[in-house]
Amino acid sequence: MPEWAQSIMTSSITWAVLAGVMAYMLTLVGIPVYTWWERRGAALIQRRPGPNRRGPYGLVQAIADAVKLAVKEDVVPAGANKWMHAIAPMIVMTVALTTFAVIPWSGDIELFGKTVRLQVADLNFGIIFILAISSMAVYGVTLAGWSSNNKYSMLGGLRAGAQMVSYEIALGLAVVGMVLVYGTLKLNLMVAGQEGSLFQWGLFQAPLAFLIYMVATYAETNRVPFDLVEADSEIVAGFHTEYSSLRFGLFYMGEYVHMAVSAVLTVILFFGGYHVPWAHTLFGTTPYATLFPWVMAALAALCLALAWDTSRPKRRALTQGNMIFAAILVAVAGGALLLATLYGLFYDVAWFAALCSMVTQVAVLVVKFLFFFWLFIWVRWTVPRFRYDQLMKLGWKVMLPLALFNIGLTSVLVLAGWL
Amino acid sequence: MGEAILFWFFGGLTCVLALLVIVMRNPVHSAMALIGNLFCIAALFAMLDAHFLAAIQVLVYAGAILVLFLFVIMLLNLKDHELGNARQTATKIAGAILLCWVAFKLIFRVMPSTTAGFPAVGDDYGTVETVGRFLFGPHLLPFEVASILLLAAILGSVAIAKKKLW
Repeated sequence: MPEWAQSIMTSSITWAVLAGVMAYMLTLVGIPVYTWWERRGAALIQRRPGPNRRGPYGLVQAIADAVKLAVKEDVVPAGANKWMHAIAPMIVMTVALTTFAVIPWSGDIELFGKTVRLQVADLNFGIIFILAISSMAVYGVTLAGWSSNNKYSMLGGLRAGAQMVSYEIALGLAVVGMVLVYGTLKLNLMVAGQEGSLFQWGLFQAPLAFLIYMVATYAETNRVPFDLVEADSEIVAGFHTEYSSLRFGLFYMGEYVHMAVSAVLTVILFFGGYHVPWAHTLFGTTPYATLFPWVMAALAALCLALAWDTSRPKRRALTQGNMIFAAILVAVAGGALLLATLYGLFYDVAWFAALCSMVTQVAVLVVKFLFFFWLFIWVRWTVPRFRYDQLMKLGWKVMLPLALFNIGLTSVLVLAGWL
Repeated sequence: MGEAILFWFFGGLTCVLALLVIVMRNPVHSAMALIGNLFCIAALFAMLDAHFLAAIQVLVYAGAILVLFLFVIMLLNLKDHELGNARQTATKIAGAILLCWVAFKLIFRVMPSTTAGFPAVGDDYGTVETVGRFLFGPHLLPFEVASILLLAAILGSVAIAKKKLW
């Protein structure tokens, strides 16, 4: 390995950029897939096919939706406050993307005597950074509602503001409970604290905090059952009634980015982050490197199964696109198998094994993330919406006292040495 | 060099946004400028190694208090004629000249005498641990007094909002 390649690989800038790319892959690149997933998930739960015509499994529908949104006319209503109307969607999107800066995507790995990690910024107040930045999101929706000069928008914006401020308190207090459990504010140390057995996970350490956190998260992302902000039977579409084209698109994407942040944060706080339970006892001293070929084999198997399914005679009648999709899947499967073979040949090269373990950890995190993303969709199409007074009662009279009780309980348990 | 560029960028932006807060006619624009201003001050805190203070600045001021400001302003929803006519009076000009004089004094007289001879701070200067140790150690009494003040404010707001308490 030449000197310059080593210096690139051990530079913290390289890994910060890669972590940023990772965040963009999961959000901006992922959004078309998530919208498709949301619609197919809804269809699955309501026992109908959903968008399944364009492309394999209807995946191209997502691109068609995006193009439709982008080429629509951008309407600014008469009497709207033009500046604020333009800034509001930008605030929502910027805030949601910025929170990814402190997410640790992998643990520490050793490369040529230096320790690197896939994380943009390792702040000593990591979790407070996320709370602080996401508390700015309320301005986006409130300003959007006010600047549209429409009473339904205004009502939606005020509802959004009241709801997000109310549930932010419960969310923050639940996070305080987790800070007590792990004894740190750094996200990477929080994940490191969940290494080992399954019962080291935050979920088992503080189940009450998890319950509060999950409910507050759904309220913060304005998803069902807390979507009173855009309750279409009462206030048309809430704060984004007067938005069209890509400005509406920014709100729409902002919601998905916010969901992605929440899902990743849930995994990091409560579900062991990139850790596999009992990894060290089951897979030896370097468990994640050992797991690498199996992860690659699983990926290859998944790709081959999908490729077989799309090229079945029944489907082949539809389009040639299916065959191209299948070819890409087979290529990905081949690449994964090649990597697994390479690991088999060069597992004693330290830097290669370290990189492999990093890829495994990222894969573990992404799989857990996808589950919690699916949970958002699952809940959306299963649970009915709250009434507004029920929402406020739940937030202030149930969640807040419960969160305070949780902090007291956790403190006692930590002092007694049981956690 | 990089730090100097960031300082002049955020410092300049702070001043511009602070000016906008008082110059803008629409109160909502003023409030938004104030939020931006607080954000820039947080950035300046972060550059002075006061990381925790920077985060709390954004969380409490920009994230919580200004939301209430904005709510009140939006619900009042003042129209242009309700704000009154724009006035260019002699007092304003006199005030501006006085402000320039004070700013000049601050920058060229007071600042050089205070910035000399500050000791360099350690690596853990503004971290949560250090701030926590100071708050719950030597400064425990002021901290608790401040929290009692906040409690009194909460009780006061409840008493005002609820007509009948029991």
